[in-house]
Amino acid sequence: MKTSRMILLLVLPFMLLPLRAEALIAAHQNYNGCDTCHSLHGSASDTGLLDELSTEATCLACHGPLGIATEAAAHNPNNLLPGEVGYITCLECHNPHDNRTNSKGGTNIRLIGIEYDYNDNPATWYPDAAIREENKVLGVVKGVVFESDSDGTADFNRGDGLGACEICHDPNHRQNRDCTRCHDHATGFMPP
Amino acid sequence: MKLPLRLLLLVGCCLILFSCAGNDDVKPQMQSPVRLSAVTTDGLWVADHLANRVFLLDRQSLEIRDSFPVGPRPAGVVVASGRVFVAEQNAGRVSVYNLSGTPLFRLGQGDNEFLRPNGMALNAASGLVYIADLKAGKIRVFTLNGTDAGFAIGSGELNAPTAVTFDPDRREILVSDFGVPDAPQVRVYAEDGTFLRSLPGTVSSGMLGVTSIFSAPQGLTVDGKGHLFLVDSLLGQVLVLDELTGELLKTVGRTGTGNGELFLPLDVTIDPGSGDLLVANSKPARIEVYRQGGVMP
Ligand code: HEC
Ligand code: HEC
Ligand code: HEC
Ligand code: HEC
Ligand code: HEC
Repeated sequence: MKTSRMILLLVLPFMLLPLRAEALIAAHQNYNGCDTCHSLHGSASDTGLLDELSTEATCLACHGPLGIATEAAAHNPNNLLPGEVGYITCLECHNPHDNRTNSKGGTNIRLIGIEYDYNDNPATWYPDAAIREENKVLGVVKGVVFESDSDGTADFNRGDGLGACEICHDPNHRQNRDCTRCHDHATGFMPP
Repeated sequence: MKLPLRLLLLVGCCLILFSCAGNDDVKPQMQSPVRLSAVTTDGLWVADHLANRVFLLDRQSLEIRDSFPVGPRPAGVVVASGRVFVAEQNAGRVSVYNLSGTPLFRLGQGDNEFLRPNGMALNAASGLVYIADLKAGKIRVFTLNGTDAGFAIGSGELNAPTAVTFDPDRREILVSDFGVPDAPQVRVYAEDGTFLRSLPGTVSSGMLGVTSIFSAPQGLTVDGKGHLFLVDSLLGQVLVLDELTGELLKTVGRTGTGNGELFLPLDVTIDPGSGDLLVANSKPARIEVYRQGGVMP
């Protein structure tokens, strides 16, 4: 049982995110705004702030198996558990707060692209949307462009090293195809 | 025997050995246990969401005794009169198998009878199964032969029902409702669908305060002594509530990825013989046992 941390949450954004607009995507906003994740209604962490483990629990409560939203799983080909080095959690690829501008001047969709490494202390803010390479050197990030998946071509495997999968994977494999048509997010992008 | 012949024999033997080893295929392992059947004399049936299988576990050791493949992304599982009912989420249907996995029939029209079938429960006395349809926002009711019972429960009242259980003593249906955009709650209905009461997930406590009891309600079960055992997948705990008032009496288990810790737990059941509390611990892909955890003073 947890009592609300409403005051903390009212103050926090002003202290920690100066001049940063915290627009949420409609789906999260319409649920419970900030509470959707920094829940006042019983949360995965005691403070309302989220680390890798509590973030994963938070997202999966809705996006995990038998949750209420579209199913997604972390990218975890090596069967690690959240918190272990090498575990590619939601926060390696998604910024839960907003869709970000990318290095091409456009805006990414599906919340792809983080704004700072949640392991950095103090945080360094990235000018452009990035994905974190958890598997390689801790804290190494690379710019990502993910603007449209309607034609299923450019954004996953753009050929310029900026696509959401080609950042970490050799683009030779099924080039210019929508990777998630076969590599379902619900399974953590495992081969079909 | 001539050398070439002997060689041929050798190769033949090798081939046979090899193919035997090949047939001795690895037993499927659990990847994502999500829902549990009631414990029966046969054991415990577990729906595995990512393995697309149901597993039968030994009642005592909880080792895998058997398993068979089912439709895409299984959710609820119920056993009744030698049949296994499995909600196959991504096909929008509930399929019925015999105990060795032979498909028998499907509820209603089969594919897409449901929008997003989730948890299920059995009302043995009346020969009914309850299916929580998350997207339709109601509990569907079917007979064990697969025909629609002609009424649904909670239509227009439930927002996002994830799981359902039946209390055979009080003859009540208890539903976990994620609630969104309202507050999470457990809603209780009579057998005929009459709404009886709500056990709220949040209660207001003074000025700014909202005290939270649960936030991501999933699988639930009752012990026949007035206690409701409810899994909260976000908190990573089983909450024991007063079945009538919703008062929080006790919690079982704690969140984490270590041994015995719960990460995205989704269902709970009690072995009526031993009083053991069994929890589907989905992310670590285990069934957690709390010895006598289902026994309340
Ligand atoms: C979809 C889930 C989600 C929603 C909705 C959300 N946040 Fe967050 N927030 C997170 C996660 C996950 C983290 C931790 C990871 C990170 O730092 O990026 C975080 C971090 C933060 C931090 C920084 C704390 C730190 O440790 O760096 C602040 C401040 C914050 N959020 C404020 C807000 C405010 C204000 C809102 C509402 C406008 C909001 N959040 C809505 C998921 C969310
Ligand atoms: C209270 C439930 C809830 C929680 C918690 C939650 N989400 Fe969502 N999210 C939704 C819903 C509902 C949608 C919209 C429709 C859908 O996907 O089902 C959505 C949509 C999304 C989308 C798709 C956006 C788009 O443009 O289509 C992403 C990405 C996402 N969420 C990521 C996250 C991440 C990462 C977290 C954890 C930090 C998180 N969500 C936590 C309910 C939730
Ligand atoms: C390796 C990078 C990566 C990781 C890790 C990742 N995602 Fe995604 N996610 C994506 C991409 C790329 C898309 C867009 C997929 C598409 O358009 O088909 C996406 C889309 C989504 C969507 C929108 C629905 C959909 O399938 O398009 C949701 C919801 C979502 N992710 C949630 C999550 C959650 C929750 C986690 C952590 C449990 C997570 N993601 C981890 C890359 C990632
Ligand atoms: C942050 C880096 C990163 C990103 C981004 C990423 N992956 Fe991976 N992926 C890995 C790692 C690490 C492995 C493990 C194998 C290895 O070490 O190369 C892997 C393995 C895989 C495998 C093989 C799994 C197996 O066990 O056979 C597939 C398939 C895969 N990724 C698909 C994708 C798809 C599709 C995307 C885009 C949605 C994606 N990955 C994005 C890091 C990443
Ligand atoms: C038409 C279906 C399909 C599409 C589209 C597809 N894949 Fe695959 N992928 C597979 C299959 C099947 C396997 C496993 C067998 C194999 O290795 O070919 C696989 C294996 C992989 C692997 C692990 C083995 C390896 O080659 O390293 C990675 C990584 C991978 N895919 C990434 C991607 C990425 C990135 C994309 C998008 C650019 C993509 N795939 C698009 C079907 C597909």
